[in-house]
Amino acid sequence: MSQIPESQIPDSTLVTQALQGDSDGFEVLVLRYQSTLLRYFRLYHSREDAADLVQETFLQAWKGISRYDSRWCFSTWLYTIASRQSAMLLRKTMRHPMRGCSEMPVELEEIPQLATLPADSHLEREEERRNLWTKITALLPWPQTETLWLFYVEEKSLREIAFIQKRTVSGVKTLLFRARKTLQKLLK
Amino acid sequence: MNESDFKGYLQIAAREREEPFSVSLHARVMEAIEKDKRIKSCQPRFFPLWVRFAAAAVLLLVLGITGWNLHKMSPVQEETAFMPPSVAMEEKNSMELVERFCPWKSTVETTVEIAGVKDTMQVASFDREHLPLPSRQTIKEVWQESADICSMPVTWLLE
Repeated sequence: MSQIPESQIPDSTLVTQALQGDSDGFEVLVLRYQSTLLRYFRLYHSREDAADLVQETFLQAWKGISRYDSRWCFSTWLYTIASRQSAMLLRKTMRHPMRGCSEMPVELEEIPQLATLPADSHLEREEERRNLWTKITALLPWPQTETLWLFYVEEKSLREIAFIQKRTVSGVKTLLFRARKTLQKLLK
Repeated sequence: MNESDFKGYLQIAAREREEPFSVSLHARVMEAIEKDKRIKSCQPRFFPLWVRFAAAAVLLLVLGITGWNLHKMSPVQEETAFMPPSVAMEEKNSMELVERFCPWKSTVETTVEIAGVKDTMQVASFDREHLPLPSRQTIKEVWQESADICSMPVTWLLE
């Protein structure tokens, strides 16, 4: 019988292995989700802080693997830890995330709308798109940005986001609606 | 911009944000996990927290019930509580208990009527081995003495 490649082993199997104390199974999960988590943490934190948060999230997940509820995807459960870790660090530093880079909040009027840029400013448009999330984090409060990220980038369902953020589904819908409304002005 | 364009745009923007990934991150994470495993293996194994809480709750419950039962007991019950159950159930009267468990003790009773009122005198327990039982005559003399002091007529009903 041929061995299944690591990348094809389902999360649930790896979690079962980890529950039995097998750190090799957990290592595959780390490899699978570390870049996703790092990208998520980089929304609001510096590179060093984001790396620390990734480490802490996986460590907490390893320690609390017995509390994992198999009704949810492993990544969803991982995000519940990540979200809490991120919020804790934000509270600790008591600063608005990413404002540390520019030190000044970005006003909506300062951002040129992408559709209104002249056709020849292709590079500028690329630059705008690259910085889109930085602008979003500067414009929107943390829960709205997080909801937006989880819904559109990580493609989590409203129910999963509600579980991650410990909110009701209607609460998540409200956050998403507000975030979209603000972004409409930016992307129209 | 419709919903799918919006989603696509945000996803592309997220991908473009990606930075060169540090391979040391994975090593860091696994090192932290291995360290945790080592620490755990060195720690003494205790019962899980919920087991400890449950045991403490049961202990408190047992102590509470015992305390409450002791509190509710009358002095006689307390005394009999340490006797065999059959004795505790049957023997409630302390005098009976004295007679049953201390057969060498006894009581002497006599009835008198002083000034038309009947009264029973109970002489406390006497140790038959060490003290001679007072005779009825002795008791009669004691009562007569009291009656004389009060100048009251005494009729001896029980001789």
